Amino acid sequence: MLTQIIQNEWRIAWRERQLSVLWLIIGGLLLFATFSGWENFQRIHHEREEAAQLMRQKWENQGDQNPHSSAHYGTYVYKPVSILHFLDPGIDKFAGVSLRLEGHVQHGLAFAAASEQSSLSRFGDLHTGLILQVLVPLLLIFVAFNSFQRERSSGALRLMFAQGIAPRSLLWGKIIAVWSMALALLLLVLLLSGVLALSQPQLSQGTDVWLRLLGMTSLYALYYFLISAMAVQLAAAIRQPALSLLSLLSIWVLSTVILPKVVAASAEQQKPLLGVMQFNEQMHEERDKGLNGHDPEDERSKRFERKILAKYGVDSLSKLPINYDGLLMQEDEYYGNAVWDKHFGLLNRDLRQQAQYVAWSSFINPFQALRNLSLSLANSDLYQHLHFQKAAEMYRRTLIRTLNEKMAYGGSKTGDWDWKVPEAWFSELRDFDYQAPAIARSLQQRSLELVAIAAWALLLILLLWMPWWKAERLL
Amino acid sequence: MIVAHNLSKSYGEHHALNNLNLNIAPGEIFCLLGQNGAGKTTTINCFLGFTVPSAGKAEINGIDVAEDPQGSKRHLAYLPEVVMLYPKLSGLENLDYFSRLAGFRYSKNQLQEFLLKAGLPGDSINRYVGTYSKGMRQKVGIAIATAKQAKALFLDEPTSGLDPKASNDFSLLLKTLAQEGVAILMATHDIFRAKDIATRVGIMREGQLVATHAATEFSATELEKIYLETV
Repeated sequence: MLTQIIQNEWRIAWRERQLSVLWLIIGGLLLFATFSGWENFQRIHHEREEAAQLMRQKWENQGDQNPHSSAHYGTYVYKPVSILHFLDPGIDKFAGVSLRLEGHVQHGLAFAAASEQSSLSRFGDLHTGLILQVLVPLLLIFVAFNSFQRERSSGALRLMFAQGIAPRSLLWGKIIAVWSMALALLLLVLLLSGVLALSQPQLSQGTDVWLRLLGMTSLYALYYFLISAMAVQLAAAIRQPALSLLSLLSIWVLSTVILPKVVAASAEQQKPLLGVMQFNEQMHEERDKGLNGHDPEDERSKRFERKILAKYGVDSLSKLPINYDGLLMQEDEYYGNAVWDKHFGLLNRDLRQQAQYVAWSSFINPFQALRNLSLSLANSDLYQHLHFQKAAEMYRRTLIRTLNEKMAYGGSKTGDWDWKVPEAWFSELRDFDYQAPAIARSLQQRSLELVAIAAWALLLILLLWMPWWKAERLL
Repeated sequence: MIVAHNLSKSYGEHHALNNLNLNIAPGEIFCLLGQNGAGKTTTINCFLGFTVPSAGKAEINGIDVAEDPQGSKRHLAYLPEVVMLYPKLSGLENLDYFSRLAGFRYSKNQLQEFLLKAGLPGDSINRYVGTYSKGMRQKVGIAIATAKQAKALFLDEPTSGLDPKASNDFSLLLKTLAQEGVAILMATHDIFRAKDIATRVGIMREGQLVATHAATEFSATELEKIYLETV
């Protein structure tokens, strides 16, 4: 019986011109967005690859150089773009892509593409994720509403019940029919994405990309089940067509537009973040005056000098067998790192608390769970961004420490700023090689959203088993 | 076959159906007459399980509708006043779909036979139902009912809006079904049609079955007179 209902829903959806045109439009939009997203991904990927190679070339061709000058000369690292960026670009556009690495100072990520665009274009970039998250559910709502109202108003529903179909079977049939229509669109995206990913074997090697793609498909499939089950049950429960449609559309607007904005604003209120200027000022001040203002830089320097002189058993810097400047700079670096750890630790904590606050809202709004999980699976969310920032900082520390130690122990003496290291030595220093978190880590960070979306699915299935689904209430 | 024991339905203080007792045997056509709101449709809805009775029992082929709504539906077929069906499916596709919902799978030839037997012109069988007249849709409805091979048939104002020819064809069909042993309960305003096809006629007023007569007892004119006096 379920098969008959599903087949019939498909047949009618195909024959009703308005619906089939809507399906074709959404399908066309998905193809367009996926293709253009892929083009965009390739462009960004190549730009960043080229920029990273250029920076490395510059680093390796800097000539004979004093290590400290080289530390100030610094380099840039570029956030690699995840291959699934083309499905859900996430915060990449807003969070910056390049990071300048140099001694003494930690920079923030720069060159956010969105900062160069108008607020309008920042709001509504058309990408596959947006269509899958916003437009497809709207289409499912219309299909579910139309399916029930059509049969209710024509009297076909009475005839169906008289033929012996159980109300619950009818609901299941319609849910599966609406859901399967969404799955068809999803399959289209999955196949196209798979083909596109395979066209770049060097980027799609390993299981992680494929697991993520499979994870995304499963996630959207589950979400479409929620939407189908919710829409069909509401369309069945509310007999007045206008009220039924209004309720469905209100839920859509509330869940996709209003609630996410309200929750994000509320999260910012709960855990306000410092502005960039204020944040940098605080870091600068603590570096100068010491952590919590208790250990000024000049006192730290004097103490360190005494310690080194005592260690080498000499009474002046000029008698040291090593270059004290290198040691002092590294000592300052250690202090700067501690200051960074404190401030970025706090910022990180606040950002994660904000993210957790938003994640909890998934229990009242499954759309939030979908959005967060989709970003996470595409490796384009806040957690991945923070992960990159931390990896880049760790690389910077190793690089600067290596340069400072070369300065200190490489054969120069204190004050010998003209001392240089051959160019070949710089080429031997390891390049930055960022490894994005694996899917297990991404999902672990989104466990709340996973539980929430599973809970929603269970709830909607439970509702279907409630005793109130009787023919007399559906007619 | 179709039995009501003290069947009642109340909406607050309003008694839509009050202590209805009815027994329609196989092969019998029982026509319920009455004004709008007399309780005819409520009676049918109780048998179809679309309305839960406040008291009493509705039985089809010995099965209590309230206790086993799905089981009782295996033995009944229903034809509403307006059979809209699916306008974007052909008559044949509609019949096929509704038959499959009832658990019957027929070949294309068998489906065509049901439709032709119901009086649908052969050249319209594969046209979309959206292009059909009301009479043609009723014929698809009756084909759906006959294809179900039900022992009890419920009809709610089936001839309303039909032209005299279509109405007459419809009456002949019902008589054929009754001869095949189907018990038929038909709610109607059409006294003359009721007199023509019914075995018995019941007159309802304010939820009560106030009179039951064998259709052979009176002429159509006499029946009309009784009806007007009763309601």
